[in-house]
Amino acid sequence: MPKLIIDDITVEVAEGTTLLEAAQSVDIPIPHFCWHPALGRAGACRVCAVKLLDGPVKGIQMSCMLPAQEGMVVSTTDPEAVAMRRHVIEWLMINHPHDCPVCDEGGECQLQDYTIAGGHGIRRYSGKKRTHVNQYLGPYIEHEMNRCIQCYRCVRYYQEYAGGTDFGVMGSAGRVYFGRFQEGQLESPFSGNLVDICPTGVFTDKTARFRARYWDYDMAPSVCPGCSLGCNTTPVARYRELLKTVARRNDAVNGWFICDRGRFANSAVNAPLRPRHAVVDSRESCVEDALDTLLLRIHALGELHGPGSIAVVGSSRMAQEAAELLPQLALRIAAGALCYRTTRKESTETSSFVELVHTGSSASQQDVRKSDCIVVYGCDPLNEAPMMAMAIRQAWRSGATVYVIEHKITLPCEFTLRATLDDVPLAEAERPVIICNLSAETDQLDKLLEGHSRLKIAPLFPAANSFGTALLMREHGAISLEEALADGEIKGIISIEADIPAALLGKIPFVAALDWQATATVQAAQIVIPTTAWVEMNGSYINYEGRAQHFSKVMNPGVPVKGLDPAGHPPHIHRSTATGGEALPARQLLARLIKLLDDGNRGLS
Amino acid sequence: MKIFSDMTALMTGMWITWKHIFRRPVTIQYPEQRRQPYPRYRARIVLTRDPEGGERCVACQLCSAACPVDCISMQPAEGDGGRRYAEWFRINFARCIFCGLCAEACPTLAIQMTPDYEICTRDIMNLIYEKEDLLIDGCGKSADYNFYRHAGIAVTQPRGNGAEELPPVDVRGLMP
Amino acid sequence: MEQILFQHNKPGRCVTFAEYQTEGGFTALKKALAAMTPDEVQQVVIDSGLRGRGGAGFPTGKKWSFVPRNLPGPRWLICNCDEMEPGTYKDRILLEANPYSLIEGITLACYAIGVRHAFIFIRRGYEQAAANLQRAISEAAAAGLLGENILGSGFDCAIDVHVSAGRYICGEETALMNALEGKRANPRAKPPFPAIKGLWGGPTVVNNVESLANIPYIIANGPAWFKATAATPEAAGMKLFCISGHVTHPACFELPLGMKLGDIIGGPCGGMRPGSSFKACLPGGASTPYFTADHWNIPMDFDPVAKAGSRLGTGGIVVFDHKTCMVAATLNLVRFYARESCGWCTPCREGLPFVVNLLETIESGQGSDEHIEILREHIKYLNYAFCALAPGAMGPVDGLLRHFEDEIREHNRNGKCPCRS
Repeated sequence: MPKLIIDDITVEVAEGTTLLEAAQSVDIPIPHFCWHPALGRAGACRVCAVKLLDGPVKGIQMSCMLPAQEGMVVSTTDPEAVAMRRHVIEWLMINHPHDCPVCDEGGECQLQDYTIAGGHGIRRYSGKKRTHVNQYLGPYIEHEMNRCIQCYRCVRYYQEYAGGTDFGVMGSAGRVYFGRFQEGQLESPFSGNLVDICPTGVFTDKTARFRARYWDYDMAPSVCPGCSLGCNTTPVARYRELLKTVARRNDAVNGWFICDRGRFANSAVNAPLRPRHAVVDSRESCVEDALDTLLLRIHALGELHGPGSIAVVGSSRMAQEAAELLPQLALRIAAGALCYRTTRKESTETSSFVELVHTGSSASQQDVRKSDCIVVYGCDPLNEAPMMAMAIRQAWRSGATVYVIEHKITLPCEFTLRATLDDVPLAEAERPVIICNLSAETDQLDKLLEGHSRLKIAPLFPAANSFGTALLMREHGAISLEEALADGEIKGIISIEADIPAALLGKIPFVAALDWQATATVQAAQIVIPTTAWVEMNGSYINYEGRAQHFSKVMNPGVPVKGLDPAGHPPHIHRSTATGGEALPARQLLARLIKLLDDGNRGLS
Repeated sequence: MKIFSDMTALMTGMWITWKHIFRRPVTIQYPEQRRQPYPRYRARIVLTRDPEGGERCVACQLCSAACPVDCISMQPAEGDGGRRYAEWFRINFARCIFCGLCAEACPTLAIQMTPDYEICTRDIMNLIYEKEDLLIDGCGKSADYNFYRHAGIAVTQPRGNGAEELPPVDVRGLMP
Repeated sequence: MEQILFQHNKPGRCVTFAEYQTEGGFTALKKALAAMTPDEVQQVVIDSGLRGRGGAGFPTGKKWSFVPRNLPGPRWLICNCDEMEPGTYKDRILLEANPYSLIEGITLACYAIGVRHAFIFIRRGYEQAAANLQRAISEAAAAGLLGENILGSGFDCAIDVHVSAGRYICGEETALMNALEGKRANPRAKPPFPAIKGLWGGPTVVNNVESLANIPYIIANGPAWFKATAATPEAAGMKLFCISGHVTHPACFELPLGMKLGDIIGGPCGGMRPGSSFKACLPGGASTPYFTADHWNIPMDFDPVAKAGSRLGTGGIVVFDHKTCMVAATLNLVRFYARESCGWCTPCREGLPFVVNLLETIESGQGSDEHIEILREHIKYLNYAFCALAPGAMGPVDGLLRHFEDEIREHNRNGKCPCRS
């Protein structure tokens, strides 16, 4: 544990920590471009210069390359170090284009920040700037090579971290070019992270091109709803439009990155056909009236067909808070069934797995990254939960062996095929992890877990809150909708954010749908009440390992400002709720329903 | 005697008043006579065009960020040839304090202040000026500058033909 | 004058394998394999005081001793024949005259360090030298002097010739290793040093052609003899000085280390050309600061030259006469380095073109005192680049500012180059 002094502050760090990280640990920022906590050091940009005043090493050194040693005395504010950094910025500015006003990175650009902080000002170079031709890299990522400061982060991330092979660096000296060897869409399913990782505006989010500036963004910590991994994100919104999603750091879960599926999934939130108003019998209504009508219909169905004729149907994409309220609603309306799944198969698979996962047996993504033996058992991580495949690759990079049990899949790393689980030497591994999905045999896995104390499993559930709703299923004895409809007793359903297959929908005379997506269920429903998407409310999801993660409200619900007024600019009208902003979080709607029912039962109007 | 000093005081006051009758008044009889402000007087804001006739404003949001009273808002958009422009641009003149920080911040010399101070109106909603109310046909105070000639994104000229640019690098070329 | 490496030279052709053996070739190898242990061979080289001839001047035996004896796994020896330092052509001259000393030297070095597979990394453009080496390797292998169980000693050694794809940066030892491994030729960070972790992660020693070619003679004749061939007591051995520029006989001469600069230029080079008087020279290749007439009596050895403010480098002496514009000469040199930058780190990739731009401005007469200050800043801060290319490139600029600042000021004052009439 070497002890050293940085800017008169004594700090003790673990062996192998670089000076840059040691300084960060005591909140001393040192500018850097090429170093990244996930990618390690490169020593290419030379902007992290510090002056070592005393100790085993002396003079100007690069803080990201030098491991901390006992007795070092470091100054980050020494005039020589500051001058070195100023010169590096000056050198980078020699070829940097005059793009800031039209560059999307402006406001969140590391080069801008370090230029101001470093003190470089007037241009002393009298020559011309080198230019590059851009490439088309697909519909998601914009390429503007003039702005490149050659930090090599993109190619280190893409090739080393993500295992991609179609993108790299070409050329030499000042002509180095970071692009795809053949022009075309980037192949890696993690290519979107190039946008986060590039310190300048070379790679920007094309879907959010020319929309807003960093200082105007509405942002809040959130969780990706794309799969059951629950990677942490920061969605970015402006003027009631979800512009883009940016990865948020969580060392235990996704690390520093997210997959493209979760990053470029904004269209559902901004979709013009989203349910924005309450609809009763194909006529637009308001939420209050729709709730009242719903109560009347529930009452009518009860009178007509007796108790047990209504089913309350949730789904595994609803937030946990709303899911918790469903049993209460079911109780009050004497529902015939409480469902969190639509098909019988889904239901049985989920229940058996929930038993299996408990503290200590479930593997987080960090556990997978640090594992030394990974078994992919009957699932396809790259397609089912892409970031899990990324985690497997990191384990492989550190020397782990990856086994795939007789299954035709691709992974961004090398793996060995084995016929059965028994062929894998689990006992010899220090931190083995089995990754499977719900089609796996839980008995077999249970036996393995008992037999190997260090073994962990990572079952990939299908949706964001599958695990959370599965816990509720177990607690309240919920059944699948398919089972509920089997005996023909159910005459009506209240569906909350559920996707019911057409075959089942056809059997139900009355459907009330509370949802934020224009699904087939919403089309078929007699009563529709709009709910909020995950970015428009606070809530939580419980991911596949049983980790509850909270997401916060990023934006208000409502029709995006863009296109509201035919004249092009926003309307000159004062109002207290946004156009189309009546949507409420599902839990609030359920709470109102429950309260209305309680008031009704107590004889209140 | 006291009456003499009292008389002197009275006469001095009346003399000063009498003197002022013949002094030139400084009041300008507005609106029949108008004072002409200097060209750099900070009054109504306009959005200017570049010498080639295109809109200068690239909706970079710097004026909006600089404005101390948050009276400017805009929506950037992408136009023909990759040109960044303002889809809509709104200045709320009821809020504007005419400080000129927006003009100082603008990197393309688009937003400028004119000496036109006569913009008052009866309905306060008329003080919200949209882009069509702000855009003028001329270059304003700077006749030469076209930002896109200096930017690297090749909107008004092909890549490598900008004011300080070399021709684009041939990545596949082997010559040093 | 006694010659070590050039003793086998035949006029107009390469020496043959038979001739080399007749003239005493491969006796050192036979002696070492029969009577010496690897440690003894290494000690002899250390005692001889041989310093690396590739530019850095690091003691060769000491570099060998850094390789841990007991580390398992393959270890490598690389002969660096990527001679792209401007002004340096000695390795080509040597290999076109006699490739066998190098082959014997490599084999001895492999024996001393415990290497079974060595590479000769030769630059593109040295076709004749590469062909000579390939031929020499086959001949030696056929004669049982290379390959498995050399001379029945149980020692195996194989040598492969690898022709570079052709950039200057491949001469940097870690970039060379990356190029050999098939990666982009960017240098690597040091530490870890190649002797611990080099080619494919194993201990690697990188030596220059001339350094390795001297080994057989050191082993055959002993370290004291080698030391005595130098001109001063502190120096050890002889050096191939390759002189170019405005001298009467620009050529490659094998001369004792420690011989004075003036004696080299006045002696074998035949003095300056008629009509030319000495103005300045690069003492050791293009990446060294200039020497002027003040340095006429400096012994050309590593330490004296370093003390005089320059570097012996590769011993490639480039002589400039009184008609040479030093600014233009420096510009020419720095242009080369700017072009050869690998593009990894910012100071070299962007800073060198800035220096070129400054020198162009000064050379065309549009410079000002401010530009001199900026050049001075660059000399200082380009020292903190990732490898030694950028600091080396600033060598001539450093020499320019130290010895010829008045010439720069004359450019600025006149508004044009004073050497152009």
